[in-house]
Amino acid sequence: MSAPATRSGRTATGARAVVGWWTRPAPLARVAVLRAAVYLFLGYDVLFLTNDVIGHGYAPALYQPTLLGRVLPFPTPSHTTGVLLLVVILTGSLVAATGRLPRIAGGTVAVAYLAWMVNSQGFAYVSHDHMALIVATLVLPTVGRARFTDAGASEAAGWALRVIQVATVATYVGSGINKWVRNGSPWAWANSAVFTWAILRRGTAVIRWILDVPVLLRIGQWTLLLAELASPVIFWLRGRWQLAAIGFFLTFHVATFLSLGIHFLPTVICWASFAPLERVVPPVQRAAARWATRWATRLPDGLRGRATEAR
Amino acid sequence: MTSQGGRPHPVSRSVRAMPSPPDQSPTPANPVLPHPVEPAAPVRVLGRSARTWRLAVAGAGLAVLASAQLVDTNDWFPLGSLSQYASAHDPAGTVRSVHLDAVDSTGATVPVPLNPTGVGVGRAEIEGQLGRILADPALLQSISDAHAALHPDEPAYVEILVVRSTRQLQGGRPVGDAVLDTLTTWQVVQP
Repeated sequence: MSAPATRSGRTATGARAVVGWWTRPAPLARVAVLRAAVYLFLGYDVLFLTNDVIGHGYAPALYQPTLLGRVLPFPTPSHTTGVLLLVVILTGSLVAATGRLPRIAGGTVAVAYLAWMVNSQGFAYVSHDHMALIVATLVLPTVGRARFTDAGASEAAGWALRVIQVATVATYVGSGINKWVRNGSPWAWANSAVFTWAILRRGTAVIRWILDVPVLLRIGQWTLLLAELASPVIFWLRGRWQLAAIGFFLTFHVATFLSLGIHFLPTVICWASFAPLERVVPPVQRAAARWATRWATRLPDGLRGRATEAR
Repeated sequence: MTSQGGRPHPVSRSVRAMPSPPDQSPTPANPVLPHPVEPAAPVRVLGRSARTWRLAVAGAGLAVLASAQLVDTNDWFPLGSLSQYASAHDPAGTVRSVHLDAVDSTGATVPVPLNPTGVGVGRAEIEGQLGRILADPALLQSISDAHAALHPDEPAYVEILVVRSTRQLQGGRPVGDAVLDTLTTWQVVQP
């Protein structure tokens, strides 16, 4: 007689656990630091990684927009719109990195950056290293005000961090699933010559020797695929084990950078959402205070008092 | 970044003091060590609607991303298939790679710089629409236009060649030299 009640009770407990997991309170200072890192990285990204948008403006005939590019009123590629988007992203990112106007600046950057990426990825080749970073730009503005010196925590911060974490891990597990689906079975990919193919097409001098030892490449393919499929385990790991698992993927990215010139930095930066970033604030504050003191003592007498006050 | 007093948080419905610091035990959000939140630090909680839309968005996003892997479509970018290097390649097959060469106004044959600052588009972007280009080589005019606009000081292209390089594999090892095939050419229309 009590069975249905127990079952519904269990369901309710399970639902509460899921809701709690997605919105577990996180320190606002952590969001402030991650936000600074992400927005500063965006500047580097648009200037040096996805810097094809302005060049794309000269070849609009080759534009093959993906769904969002077709349904949203994003501009068609041109030199002018490329430069405009660049200015908006750089300016907005600088403001948002400081934590000022988190919703307006962050929201503007999110829209402009999405338009930028839809252009960058709209020429019949879509890479997947920016997925988590685009998600981060979309969710960070929802946290609202979060200062480097905030001692508090919020569920809004917890949700945003969790979404970035999930998007980061999904980059790996989703990629593993896609390899499985695309080729009919997991071993079809892992036993193939995909690494040989990649190295022949864009391998650096560091790695070309391995073309003569294909068995090593096959072991590497199996290791990568199994690690990708197992990546969600990271959410159950704690302490050093979690750090080691994250370290595995970071090492993988260093290896592909050295061997193929593919670095996945936009995903790497999102791994920071797992770190207790707020702990960098006190040392940075102390260093800034020391620097300000040293600077103040070098000023002419008339200005010294004012500089010390400013500190 | 300076303290601005107790201004209410825009997304929070209410603020409560936790009996113990939140997130103090190692959790996925806090993997290594407890963060230095003071015991009395306030925790801003979400109201019902703020919590509901957040969960709905997260669930919907994950559903789209998961479906994209199963449908295997890049069209849903940024939540499309995570397909870089996802295609298997036969250890006894061939490795193909496409590049563009150009004959310039001095008569020299030069490689077309397929990169963001070269002609704006990359090799993978040419390969991704190779069928379209072979069906309508006039699309290569935009490569020449981009080159002229980005490098006005260089000799203009008069002809563009789409070249495919093929290498044979045996047992996952490359054997022999690359075979080059010119797939199509385009006589550039000078402005």
